Parts: sequence; structure tokens; C-alpha cells
Amino acid sequence: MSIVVKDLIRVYRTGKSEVIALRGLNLDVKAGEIVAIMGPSGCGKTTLLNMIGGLDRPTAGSILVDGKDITQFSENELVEFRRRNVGYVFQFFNLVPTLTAEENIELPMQLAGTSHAKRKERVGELLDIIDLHERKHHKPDELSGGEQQRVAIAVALANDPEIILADEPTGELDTKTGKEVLQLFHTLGREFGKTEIIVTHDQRISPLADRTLTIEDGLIIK
Amino acid sequence: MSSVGAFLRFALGSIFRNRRRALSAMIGIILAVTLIAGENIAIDTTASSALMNILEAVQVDFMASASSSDYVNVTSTIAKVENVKYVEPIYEIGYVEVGADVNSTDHYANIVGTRPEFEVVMDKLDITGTFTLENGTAVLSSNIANSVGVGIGDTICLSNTIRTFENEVWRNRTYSLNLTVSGIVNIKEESSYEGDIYFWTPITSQTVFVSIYEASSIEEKLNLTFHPWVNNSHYMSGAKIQYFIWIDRDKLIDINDLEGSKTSIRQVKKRIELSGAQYGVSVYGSDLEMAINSYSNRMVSFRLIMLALSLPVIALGFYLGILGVELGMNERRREIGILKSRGVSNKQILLMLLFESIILGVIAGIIGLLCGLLSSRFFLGLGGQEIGLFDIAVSNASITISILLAIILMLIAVVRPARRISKIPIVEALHHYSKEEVKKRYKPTRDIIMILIASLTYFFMVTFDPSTFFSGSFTFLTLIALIFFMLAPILIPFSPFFLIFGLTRLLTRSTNKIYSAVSHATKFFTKDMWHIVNKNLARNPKRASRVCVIISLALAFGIFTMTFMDTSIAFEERKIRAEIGSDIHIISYTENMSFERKLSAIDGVDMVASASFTSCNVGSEYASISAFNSSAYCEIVDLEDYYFIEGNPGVLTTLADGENAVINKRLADEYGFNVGDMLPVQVYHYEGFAEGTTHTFNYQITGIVKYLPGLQLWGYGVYGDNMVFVDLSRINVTLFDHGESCFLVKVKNGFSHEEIANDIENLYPNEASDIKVFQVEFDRVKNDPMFSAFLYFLTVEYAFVLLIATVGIGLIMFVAAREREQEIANIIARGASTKQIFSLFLGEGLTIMLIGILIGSGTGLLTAYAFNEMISIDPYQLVERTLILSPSLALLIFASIIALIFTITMVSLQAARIKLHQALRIRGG
Repeated sequence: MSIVVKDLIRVYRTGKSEVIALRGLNLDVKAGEIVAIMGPSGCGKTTLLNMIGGLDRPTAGSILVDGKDITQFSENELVEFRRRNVGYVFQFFNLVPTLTAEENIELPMQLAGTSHAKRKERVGELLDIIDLHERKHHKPDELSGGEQQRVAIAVALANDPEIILADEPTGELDTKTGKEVLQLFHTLGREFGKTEIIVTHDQRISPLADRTLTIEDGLIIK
Repeated sequence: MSSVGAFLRFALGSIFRNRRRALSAMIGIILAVTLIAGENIAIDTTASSALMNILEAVQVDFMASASSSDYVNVTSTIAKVENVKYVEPIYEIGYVEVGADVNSTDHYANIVGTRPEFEVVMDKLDITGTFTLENGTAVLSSNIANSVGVGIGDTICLSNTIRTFENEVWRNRTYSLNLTVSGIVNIKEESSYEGDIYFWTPITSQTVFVSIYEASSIEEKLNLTFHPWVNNSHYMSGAKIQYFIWIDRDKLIDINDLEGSKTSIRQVKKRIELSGAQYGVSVYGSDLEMAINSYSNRMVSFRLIMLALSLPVIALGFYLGILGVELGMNERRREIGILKSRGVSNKQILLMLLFESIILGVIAGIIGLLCGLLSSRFFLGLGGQEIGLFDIAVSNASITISILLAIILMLIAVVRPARRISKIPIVEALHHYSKEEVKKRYKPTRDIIMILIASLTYFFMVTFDPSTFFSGSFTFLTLIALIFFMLAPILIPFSPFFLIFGLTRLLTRSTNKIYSAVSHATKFFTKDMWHIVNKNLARNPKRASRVCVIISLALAFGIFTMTFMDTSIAFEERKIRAEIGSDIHIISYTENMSFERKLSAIDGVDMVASASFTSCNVGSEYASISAFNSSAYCEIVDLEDYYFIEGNPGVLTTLADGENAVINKRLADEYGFNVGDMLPVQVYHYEGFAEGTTHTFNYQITGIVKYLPGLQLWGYGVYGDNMVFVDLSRINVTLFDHGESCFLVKVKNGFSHEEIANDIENLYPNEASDIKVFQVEFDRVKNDPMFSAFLYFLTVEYAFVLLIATVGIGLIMFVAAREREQEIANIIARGASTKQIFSLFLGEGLTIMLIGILIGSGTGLLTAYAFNEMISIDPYQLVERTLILSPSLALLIFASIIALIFTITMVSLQAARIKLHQALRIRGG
């Protein structure tokens, strides 16, 4: 799926103060492309990801995913979009603490109404991809950081979305684990043709991504 | 923060910075105080009118007498005393026969002499004609006028018959006097009761007023001073003069200073006696002082009773307060950690939190008081009072009670969590949540003990009979029983709490199985995600347990009170049925069969069964024997099986042959009689002034009953008596000397029972001496002001309890949703719709609600059953007190469920509507 962002503006108003997180950002991501986005804290990276992922609505501008402007979607359409088309990987994993690894991976499919049999099959596939079969019955607090992030990636892939959005996926990981996770992202992009936008401070992403962009003050500068 | 001022400022700032948290902490206390304030303000508001009502019942403030017959001077002397408003002399001439003429004086009246001014002071008198009381005239009470059949302008004859023994012969002499009726006065009340005090009304409905100035001449003409029993002596004329005195109530009675008012009244009394000392004036009968005493005692008792009855709400509000405080404390862990890292000591943290609680207590008290002003309108319905919107009164007592209660409850709620959080290590406090808090090990010991105590208490309430248990030998078991018996008054009120707390905590914290089992019921909403509901509840069982406790307590209270009230009403109905037996019950001193025929002939009467009574002997024991029309009786009376110890209602048909009898349990126990035994009965019959004869009857006992409904009479048929019941047809009731009978009347459908009773009274005023109508008696019980007020109060109280429960569940769910905001956002980011998030929370709320309802319903019903059994232990109790589960109970449970579901739904909707970007923006952006 291709992603075209045009003149995207996002303004946050809290009380009397106003923060302009994005100032008319433009971005073009081709289908199957891996794009890394970097920038200092507060530059608007996460905001951009939230917009593209349908988690937030812009103040102005448009976001075309495969030609459809998701900023015009109704709430139900956005839910479907998030359910079917986007897989989100968070910095802090954001796994449900009371569910096992296997159950966390299964959750998006349950939300999407997938049948039990198909869910079980897909979970097996994803556990193969992330290589975590032996730990599938463990809860998040019983897994290491790297294992949790791999589970989080599997969760993001559960409904086989075309788009993967990752917000600082290696931020909480050590060097070795971070490298493994980045490698996984690379594999997903190349072998499974996913369109990936990865927000990161990790310089090691550059050789693995098709493009690296920098955001500063709500605009892409290069 | 070293100074007190700094503490106060920080505490105040903390409260106002986070108003939501402050409100969560206070809400339970506010609700409890609202109820207390509301009922006290209602008491204050109605106090004034209540006092006025009581004082209105006092017709005369003081009564006085004098040794002098100079009533003119005595009256004027008393009238001159300060604060005496009116004084009227009343000359009690005598109790005489009255009639239209000397040959028809078959009514009686009390003749009093008074002044025309009497009309002014007794402003309740409703007069037709004049009250000028000229010589030769009389003013009659309307009762006398109607009975005699005279009107204004007619003549009324007063007569007095004296029986003297002259020349060894009794002779009657009649003295009569004719007066012209100048007025008729409608006297409304014979007497009045206000609560437990009887206010004597000197003027009755059988009074004839004449002029005081001709009183002694009337007395002489009717020879009313003659005292036949004391050597034919005469009463001293004037000895029968009383003085009715009215004081200036507006000046002397101050509702806000009742003690002062009583002192003032006593002083006036003393001054009257002092002024009238020369005439031997003595003041007695101060109904006014009695009224004020009664009122002030009643107010104090009433406040205490209301407070006691409000304990469930106070307890629940307090519990909710504790929860609110603890939730707030958990939210402030980081804040406390930061303060401690900046150098604030544990003690200072504790003091700061206690300061906050006092401030919150004051605020809660004020808010509760203001809300109480609004809620007092509901409580004013208790007395059926019509009070204007701005006529609400608030006493100092109400304000003090409200604010003090709020402060005390708040302090108690805060102490424990404040001590705990003030000691928390800084490092732990600075983390987002403490694993130690979540993973605290649950110890069931305390809960098992509470369940054990409650169970044993219930067991004792249901099965324990002290008379049989302690009559045996003293064993260890007896000792345990004795201990429980002594502790019962303390344990019984607390047992439902112990059971609910213990059982809820044990079920919800020792195992997750209950969530798993109950959350199945929510699958309709949660579909495949029901197991997430399960796990979410299991991860914080303490929180789930608390919500369950609140719901259980609320529902148990409602079920218990509703069941108790319904059972009590049904019990009263049964008691009245047992007493009256049929639709109408008549006591008569007339011959059975003819009166029975007369009754049967009345239009609307379906059937009549008569019964005659007399005393008898069974062996050496006194007993009562009732001979009744058994076949008619069985048709008229709805006999329930519980009346029969041995046999059933059918045994009454065996009485018709005259050989059989049914006895009551008391007589059976006396001799150890069983069915089939022979019963010798001796009836002593008086024959005029000659010696009587003993008639012996031998019956075979065919049944043993507790009692037979309706077969009672004054002096007979009280359950304490030994009773023998036989059929009327085969016994000569002329042997029943006293001639007392009762008649049970069944009324045809479509006829008013009360009207039939009135017809009987009007047609046969001499034969029917006491008529009771079942429906009238039952309505009187149901509509009894105290009972109605009590029921109304319990209904309002349950509404508060339910409000607290719904607020409690809403509060806890709301806080839980806030804590899990990020997790919810994560699930939404994975594709969950608002509906699915809503369903998750709804599923959690419903699961907790169902657990709470199950435990609460069970405990409420068990408590109602146990309490009912406990108060029904009298083996000679006439009627059974059966637990009644009325449709209104189902309505109560249904309404409670709806209220809870509404709250859960609202909170779930709120939880589902989070702003994703806010929830997920933990860092950076």
C-alpha cells in the first residue's frame, strides 16, 4: 500500500497554550518501501505516525493510503482501517499484561472476528516468524525486552496488515536485541512486501531502510 | 514544610488541585451525611408543628380546685396572676338520667355548670343556638341531643333516682327537672392520645351545660348531694367545683428553649397557688408540662432511633469513603515519593494527609448538609407534613451532627491508608505502580473466621431455644451456647456484614474460578473476549472484591428490610384474622339463636356462626369452654393448617356428634393429652341466688389446636387459657351463665363490610356491644402512622443505599479505566472498536455485579429467614410468622440491577471514548 501525506498540519491545544506538532508536512511512501524517520525529541515523529496509523486526526491536510483519504474516514472506517491495514509497534511494547504471548498475538484477530481455527493457524505462523514458540505461554512480565518486542511485532502482524508503523521499536532494547529486531523489520519488508515507516533514533536502521528522512519542527527537512 | 500554616496551605492546595480525587474521597461520606442531615432537618422542620399538634391536644393547661365554694372570688384571684389568660370555673353537678320527659329518661349525661364565657375559651366547641346559659336553659352535646331526640327549643328532662332502704324495704325516689334546650354543641373528641400520653378532655360527648349560677339549685332539685352509702349523708356543695386555667402560651413556650419553658410554666403554677392560698387553691393536672416533657423526650429518642436506623447507610457510605480515599492514595504514590525525596519526613506526610482529611471532612459535612436540605423534603413525607418550600428549619444540633459525623468518618477512613503510604519506600513510590501492591498475598484466615461467626450466629438464631437447651445438663457445648447466647445481641446485627465481607473476599480473592464461572454469563456482550474480562478481574481481585461487597451490602439490606416489612404486614394480617376470624366479629350479651337469625336476615350477610363461652374445669385446672356452630364456622373461617397441632381443619366436622372436642395446645401440654384421649369437663351452673349445679361432660379429643380464629371473648379465649372447643348443637348453652357470645359474620361479595357493620350497630345497638371489621382493623395497621413512617423511611434509606452502591461501582470502575488507559489505547490501536472496548468494560462490570447480587441476595434472604425464625420461637404463638417473598421484592432487585447496569454502562462508555493520541503519548512525539 502506498502512503501519500499532503500538507499535514496538527495543532495541540491544551488550555491556553498551543503546540504546532506538524506544520504542513509532505511525505510519499511507495508500496513495500521501508522508510526510517529520525529527528530530535518533540519534532513531530510520533504525531506523524499516529496520523498515518489512524490513531489521531490532523488539523489540516490529507493522508492518502492507496488513494483513499483516511482523514475523511468515519470512526467505523478508521476502526476497520486500523484493524485490517495497519500494524503498530510501540516503543514500550504495550502488550496486555494479563494475557500470554500467544493470547496477545491472537487478540487483534479476535477483534477482527477471525475464526478460531484461522486464528490458531496464524498464531503458529507468527510464532515461527518471531521464533518464540517455546515462550508462547508466558506473560509479558516473564519475557525479556527483546522477546516482548518480538511479540509486539507479531501482534502488529496478526491481521496481516499492509502497513507496519513502528515508533522507536529498539528504544528500550540493548544493542544486540535491537539489532535483531531491526533485522526482523527488514525481513518483513523484503520478504513480505510490507510498507514500513519506522521512527527511530537508532542509526543502524539506515542501511536497512530504503530511505531515511529527518523531521525537524514539524517538517521533513531531508 | 515545617510550619502548620505550610501544611494547611499544601493540604488545601492539594485538595483544590485535584478536585476529582477529592470528590472521590468524599463522595461516600457526603451521601451518608446527606441522609443524616436530611432526616435531622426534617425533624427540626416538623418539630414546631409537632409541638403545636401536641399542645393542641391539651385542651386545658391547668386544672385547679379550692377548698372555698366562693368560685367568683377564686376565679378572679386566679385571673389576676401574671400570664394567666383565662380561667373558668366548672361546677360538676352530677351524672343523671336525661330524656325528653320523665318517663323516657333512659340516657345518661354529665351535668356541668359553667359561665357563658366558657364558649370563648373552649374554642373547639362548635355550637348551634346560643351558649348564653340563662336560668332554666341547657346546652346539650350533640350526642345527647340525638340520643334523646330533642332540638333547640325543646324540653329536656333531667332526673335522678335514689334508692333508699326504708322500713326494711327498698324504695326508689325520682327527682326531676325540666330545662329548655338553648343550644347544641358538637364535641369532637372524647379524649385524645398523643403518643403515650392521655390528655384528659373534661368535656365529653355526654355533657349537658347549665348556668353555674343555678348549679346549686339544680343540684338541690335533683338531690344530687345525697350520698346513700355513707349514712345517708350529703356531699358538701361547692366541693365539686374545678377551675380550668389557660396560660399565655405564646409568651411562656419557646420551642428552642424547652427547659426554660417548663420552668416558666411551673412558676405560673406556683404563683396561682400562692395567690389563691387564702381560698385553698391547689393546682393539679398540668397536661401542658407533661406535653412538653413528652415532646422533648420524643425528639431525643426520635433522633437516636433515626440515627440507629441510618446505620446501614452510614456504614456503606463510610466503606465507600474508605475506597475513595485508598484509590486517591494510590494515585498519589509518585507525589508522596517526590515529597519524600525532597526531604519531607514520614510523620510530616502523615500529618499533612490527616489535615487534608479534616478539611475534606468539613467540606463533606457542608455539602452533605446542603444536600440534606434538599433531601429533607423526602423525609417530610414521613409525617405527612405539608411544609412550604422556605419553611425548612435547621437546628444547631443538625449542623453539628452533620459536620462532626463527616469529619469523624473522614478521619477514620484516612488513618490507615495514610499511615501505610507515609511509610512507603521512596524508590517504590516513584515507580508507576508497585508490584508488591498488586501481588500482595491474600490470607483467608480472617474471612474464614468472619464466615464462621456469622454462620454460627445464624444457626443459633434459627435453631436455638434457650428453654430446652439450658434445661439439660451443663456441658462444653452448653458453655459455647451460653457464650453465644450472651453475645447474640452484639453478633446478630453484625452477622450479615461478617458474612458478606468474609464470603465475598474469600470467593473473589482466594480463587479466580468465580470470575471464570460468572463471566460466562456475560458472553452475550463480550463474545470471544470474555476470557479477557476474566483475566482483568483476576489481576486486581481486591478491587473487584470491594465492588462486590458494596453491591452485596446494598442488596442484602434492601432484601432484608423489604422481606421483614412484607412478613410483618402478613403476620399482622394473620393476627387480626386469628382474632376476628371472619369478615365481621361481634361480641354480644344476648341469646344466641335469635340474634344469629337477626344477623342472617340483614341484607349483605352471607352466613353467621355463633359461639358461646363459659368457664369450666378439666380436672383441677381451670379452662374455658367454647360451644360453637362448627359446620357454619368451617364455612365462614379460612382455617389454615398451622392452627392445628394434631389433625387438620377436617377434625372440626367430628364435633357435630356432640361426643368429640378439640382442645388447645396449652391444655394438652398441661395433662399430656393426645388425640383419642377422653376429656372430662365440668361446667358449674348458677341458678339465681340458690346453689348451682355441676354438669359433667365427657368428650373424646379429636384434635389439638394452637387456637381457633375468631373464638375469643373478653376474659376468655386469650391464648394463655386452657381451651375446650365443642359443638353448639349438642350442649345446652343455658348452662353458660355469663351469656356472652360472639358471632362471626361472612359478608356477601360486592357488599361493603364496614357498611354491614354499621347496619348491625344501628339496628341492634343493645345486642351488638363490640363489632370489629377485619378490613377496617387491617387497614388501621397498614395505615398506622408510625408503621407507615417507618416503611417510608426504609424506602428512602434503601434509595440512598442503592445510590451509594451505584456511585461506588462507578467510582471504582472509573479509576480502573483511568489506570488502564494506555492498555485500552493499545487495544484500540490493534483494531478494537469503541463497541468492543465498551463490551469489555461492561463485561467486567456485569461480572462483578452478578457476583455481588448472588452474595447479597443470598445473605439478605438468609438474614431475613434467620431473624424471622428467631422472633418466632414462642410455641404458643397464635399465628405463624411465615417469611413472605412478595412481588415487590423482585421489583426491588430488578430496580437495583437496572441502576447498577446504568452506572456500569455509563462508565464503560466513558472508558471506550479515550483520546488515543493522549493515551499513547507517554514520551516524546
